[in-house]
Amino acid sequence: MTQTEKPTRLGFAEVAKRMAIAGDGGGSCFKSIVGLTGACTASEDSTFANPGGATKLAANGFALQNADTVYQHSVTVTNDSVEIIHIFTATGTQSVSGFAIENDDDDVVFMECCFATAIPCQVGDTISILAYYQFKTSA
Amino acid sequence: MSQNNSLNGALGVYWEADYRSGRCPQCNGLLDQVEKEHSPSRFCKKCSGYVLGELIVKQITIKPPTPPMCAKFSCILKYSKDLLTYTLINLYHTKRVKYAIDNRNKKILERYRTGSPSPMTLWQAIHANIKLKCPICRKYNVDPLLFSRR
Repeated sequence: MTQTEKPTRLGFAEVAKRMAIAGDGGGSCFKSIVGLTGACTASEDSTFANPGGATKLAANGFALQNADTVYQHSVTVTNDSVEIIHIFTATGTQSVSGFAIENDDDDVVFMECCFATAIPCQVGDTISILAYYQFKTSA
Repeated sequence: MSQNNSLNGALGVYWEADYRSGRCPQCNGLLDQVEKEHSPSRFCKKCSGYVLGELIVKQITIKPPTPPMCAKFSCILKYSKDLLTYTLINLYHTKRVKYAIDNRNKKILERYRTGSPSPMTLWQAIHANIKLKCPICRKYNVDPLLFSRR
């Protein structure tokens, strides 16, 4: 008989649960978000120091902060994803070329998004971010 | 011994970003701070209510086509077509975001702010890109190749 292997649906959900609600107690879960500026290209090799090869913002409302909401979400199968929602409000004029989502320890970038066109924010403008980190992308 | 170690879909990410001004879409008055944490609504003193700021543009994720799983000519041809469609749809969204930001205080077609409806096919992507370049087509919401409203 042929050997077969599969990750299970409940397994995907368990991984998402652990990553969404700090199950490991070690600060590895999804937690922080930061705005990026300057030339930005998303890359698998990105590090916390310069996600997307861009500069992490530290002012004008886009500095590193805890995301408003982090929770489990169903996309392909039940509870297979971590959903991150955050609203930035610009407190100064700022060009924003993307965002990066980091762990609770703020030393690893989970995912980054570099916009095709940078957003030239003015005071009072808001950017609402909705991001999924999906552990199972197809049925 | 052969093994079946398919993951049935690996990790994936999806992003969406709504860029809104700090002004009320009804009265154009300046909005106060957010109603409460986790809520995008803000208070408008003139309208005496919580509203969303005026939408300037929405950025969306376009998923790239799946690479071909076979070496047949038909598979490669299909992938090439999907890749061209993906490139043209991306080009459309890049240009519409820039257009919407450049015209943040002007009345433009809502589809350029929301990104919806987005072109789905190669033919639709070609039409959408040409229309976005044509000021008259944008103004009268007319398809430049079909001369009809779309």
